[in-house]
Amino acid sequence: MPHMTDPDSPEASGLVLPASLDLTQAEPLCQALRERLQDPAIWLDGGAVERISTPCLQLLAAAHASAQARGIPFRLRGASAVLASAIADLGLSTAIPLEV
Amino acid sequence: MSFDHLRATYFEESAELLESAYAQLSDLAEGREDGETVHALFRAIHSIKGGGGAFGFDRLVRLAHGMETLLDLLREGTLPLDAAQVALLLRGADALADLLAAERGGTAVAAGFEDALMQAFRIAAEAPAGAPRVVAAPATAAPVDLPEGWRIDFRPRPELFRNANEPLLLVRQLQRLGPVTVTADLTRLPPLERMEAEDAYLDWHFVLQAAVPRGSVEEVFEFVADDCELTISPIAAEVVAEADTPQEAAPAEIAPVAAQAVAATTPQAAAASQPAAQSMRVDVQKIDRLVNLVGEMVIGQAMLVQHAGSLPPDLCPGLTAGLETLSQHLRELQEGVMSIRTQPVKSVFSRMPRLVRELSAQLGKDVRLVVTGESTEIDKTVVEQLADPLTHLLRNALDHGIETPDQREAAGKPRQGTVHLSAAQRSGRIVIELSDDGRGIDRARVLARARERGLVAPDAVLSESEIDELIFLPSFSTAATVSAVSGRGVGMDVVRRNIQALGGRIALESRFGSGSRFLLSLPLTLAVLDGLVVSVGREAYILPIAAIVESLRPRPEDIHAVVGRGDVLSIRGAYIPLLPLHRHFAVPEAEADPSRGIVVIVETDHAGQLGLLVDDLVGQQQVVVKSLEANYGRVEGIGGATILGDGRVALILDIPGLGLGQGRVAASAPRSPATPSALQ
Repeated sequence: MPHMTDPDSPEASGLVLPASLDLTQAEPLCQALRERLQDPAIWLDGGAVERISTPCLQLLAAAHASAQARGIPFRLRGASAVLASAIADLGLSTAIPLEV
Repeated sequence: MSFDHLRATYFEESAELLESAYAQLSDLAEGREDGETVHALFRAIHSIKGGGGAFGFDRLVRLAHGMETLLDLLREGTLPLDAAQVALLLRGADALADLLAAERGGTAVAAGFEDALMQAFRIAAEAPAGAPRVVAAPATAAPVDLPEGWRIDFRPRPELFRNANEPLLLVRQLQRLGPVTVTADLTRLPPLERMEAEDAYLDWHFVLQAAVPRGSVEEVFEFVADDCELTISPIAAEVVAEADTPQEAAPAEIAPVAAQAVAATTPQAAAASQPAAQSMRVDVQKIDRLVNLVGEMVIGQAMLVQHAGSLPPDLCPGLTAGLETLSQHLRELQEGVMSIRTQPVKSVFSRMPRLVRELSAQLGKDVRLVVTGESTEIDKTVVEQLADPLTHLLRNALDHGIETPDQREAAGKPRQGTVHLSAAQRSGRIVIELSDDGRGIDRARVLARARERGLVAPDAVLSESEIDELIFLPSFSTAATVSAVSGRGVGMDVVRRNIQALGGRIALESRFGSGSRFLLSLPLTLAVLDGLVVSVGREAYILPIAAIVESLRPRPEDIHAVVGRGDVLSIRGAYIPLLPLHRHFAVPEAEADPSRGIVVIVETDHAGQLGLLVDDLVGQQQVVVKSLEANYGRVEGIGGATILGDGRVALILDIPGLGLGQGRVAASAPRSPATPSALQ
């Protein structure tokens, strides 16, 4: 998973979600998100997502909940249309809040 | 067809009908019914009654008639369906099962056994004055009224995603039928650190606002039916209006179906929706003959391959290709024949709700049994032999695991305890799980008891799993007071032995205060086995692949002698006891030096890992298991025999049996001939 640095939050490293988030990507995404939970803030860029699966959305929901439980800010920015509509269709808008 | 044959067929059919009646009653009890449920239940009871009349089972006929009368009123809608009536019908089904069992076994049932029940049916059917009665709808109003919409509760099983199912596609298919309100339920979602990335944890509640037939909704979920718990219920107009709120509305606001839905479908419509029978009855012996014959063909084919291998490759190029095709087809044929012998675990699982009902009433506990994966198929022999261990585990869970409602409340748990029984197929095996949310195992007390009984040295430090293992010890479970002390333990050694006899394993996980979980892993079939052929002297033995951890040729310095225990192998800091097979089975001319032979490390349930010393590894192959007990007699450490490609008989090792006797190896005399002569 590619990493990048958030210009707004220099101490937090971000995660650019890959174009494909199908089932095969669930394990790497899970690992990457777990590592991010050690950071003071989590931010994800969802602009490149072209393919999405429920297991990956489920991981994002769990990451958000775990971040909230630890008091870590969680931001998912610039979600692609594919990602945004999947979140809405599965009724996960509260579980995975999108930042416009 | 002889009269006896007809009678046997009637009992078999009645058992199946009762099974479906229990399933329908459980749907009624859980509120999962639709217009068809009561009709199907009526038909099942009616068929049992019809056949019973032909054989002169008068008491059974009277009882079934009493149930029918009540069911008739329910399906007409004259009488509203409530929990008390479902409970009464369940008692009726239990009594029918008892009467059927008595007729089948030729035993007597006490006179008046069913009188109280018959009286209860009459009272229920007459309904006391002032009791609410639903006015029957005029006959003309009956035909197929579609509901305003459907409420769908979708609870995926963990393996849903791995079985290539995608809820997103289901939602989008539902959206094609009409507007859908989606509520995701995150209750089961664990923290990220504890998640299995590919397991499903989310549940969904959908409200579909479209007057479409149930079949259209079922079609959407057709391919995930085995991987989820699904409830589809019609909703009334006002509920649809209420549900017409923005996304992620609170699920609790949506009311369940009105009971009148039961009467909404006419019997004619129900009959029309019943699929035609797609199965036929075949004598088990005929299938077994087929299985044996295919087994012989597999052996014959292995011989052919072996002979062909000794020919020069250029001599007959077509032969090799032909043999490969034959092997492939034979394997498919074998799988096909084996699958005829399989049957859903439902036939065992369906006996459990009654046990739970009766035991919880007897123990004064409130227990809910949740059963999933009952359509998972497994070999008929395994299914039949599962009933006893499962009954035992369930009885233990209810008796010692689940607390009384007051104790549960005091512990901050819901008054009703839950026992979950599930089956699933995982990598060539069947995994049956029985979990409860009871008090779990009090390890401190188990350990104290084991020390008292001298099963554990006073200064020994045991891990949690080692303490759990103690309850499987025969000497532990015979203690009458253990059940009261530890919460578990009566006859657990018998359960483990039964499961092992089926080639299975049993594991236990428990958390004190929050419950226990038993995992039973069983082979899909007992007729074939993936094995490793090893040579010892001039003999060949088969080791079940599932038990093998690794194999190696040890260095001389890694072998150490321990007084009274024989040799041990030092490997990566651990010491593994060595069992030279040639000494165990008295095989002459075998390799006695471990550093010149091969050590195959196997996992045993009792003795941990064990190193079997063999001369050489010959190869891996699928073998047809022939019973040694039926053809010769029982030999400790031997699970069966097979015939190899070269026509020799090879014994299949029973690893748990070897592990049990391992401690006696160094001192004991050889215990059996290398190969029983009867098989040669």
